[in-house]
Amino acid sequence: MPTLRVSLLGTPFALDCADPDLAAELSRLLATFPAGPADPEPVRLPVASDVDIGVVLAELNAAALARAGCLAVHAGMVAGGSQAIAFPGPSGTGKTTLTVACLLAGLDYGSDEALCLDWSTGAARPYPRPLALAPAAAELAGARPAARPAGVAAPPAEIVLTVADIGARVAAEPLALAHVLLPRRTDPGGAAALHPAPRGAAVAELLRRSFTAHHRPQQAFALTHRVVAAASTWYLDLGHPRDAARLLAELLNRTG
Amino acid sequence: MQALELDGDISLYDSATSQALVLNATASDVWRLLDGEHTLDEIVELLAAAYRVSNASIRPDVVRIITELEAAGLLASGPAAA
Repeated sequence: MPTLRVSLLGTPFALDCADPDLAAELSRLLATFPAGPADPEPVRLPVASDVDIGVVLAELNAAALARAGCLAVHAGMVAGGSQAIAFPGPSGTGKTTLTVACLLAGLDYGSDEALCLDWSTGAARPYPRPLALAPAAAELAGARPAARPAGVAAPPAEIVLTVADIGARVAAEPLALAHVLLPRRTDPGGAAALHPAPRGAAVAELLRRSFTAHHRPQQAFALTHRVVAAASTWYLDLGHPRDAARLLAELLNRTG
Repeated sequence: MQALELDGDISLYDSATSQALVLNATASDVWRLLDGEHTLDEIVELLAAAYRVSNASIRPDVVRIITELEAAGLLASGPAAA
């Protein structure tokens, strides 16, 4: 039984895969999370042969976020150079679609799931997990999925993409959070637009969406304030994701 | 419960409930005066003078803000009436 070793957000994992083809596909999808040579004892996750890849990735994601050694916030993150933009929001608000559109617009990939801030420095760290989105969302973002190997079960309602599939690259550290966007979903036919938002609203939203603030509540509150105080904050009327992506690219061009 | 100020607005965070609340300008001013030193009437009077409005016009806002803070569990008890 092949075992795939990866490291996500500082936690080593060992995926014990019953199916070699599934192991190979997971290895491809998780190539951005190589295991370290000196990783301690990993968290073991059994992977059955008939399981959907999306289920495996979701379980791995949840386990990584629960153990994350950083202030992790439910947010998408993209970057240009050393400047990052984060857009917090719950599931279903279009973070992944917007992220993919941004990558296709030439921005670098931070994450479609979590803004990860170093507890001490406040620096943003990439969490470049595979991007899973509905076919319609992939089309909206302008992405074309890679061919899936024969014999590998795929969630019919979902396409899973890697950064490499999109032809983009993972954002390089160090990263500073330059902008926080608070998305407001609008008609995809409407215009994407940015409006200044009060920094307090960004603080509240980042704390509200945090996965790990409860680990160090006092530090999370102070860190969020410190990071937002140094950033610009905006409401983002989403409109069409590709239009929104162009706005984000322009924002980073202005501050890069 | 922690409070921090950013751009003149006060943010409150209750670590027990993970609830974050950002106060607008008026609510921030009310919060600053909820220091145990001012009665409700004094808070109303101070803010009315600061905003150049009548006590009667601002009192409902002040009462509402205090009520909301209490309901959110961010204020143990409001100020004395007078």
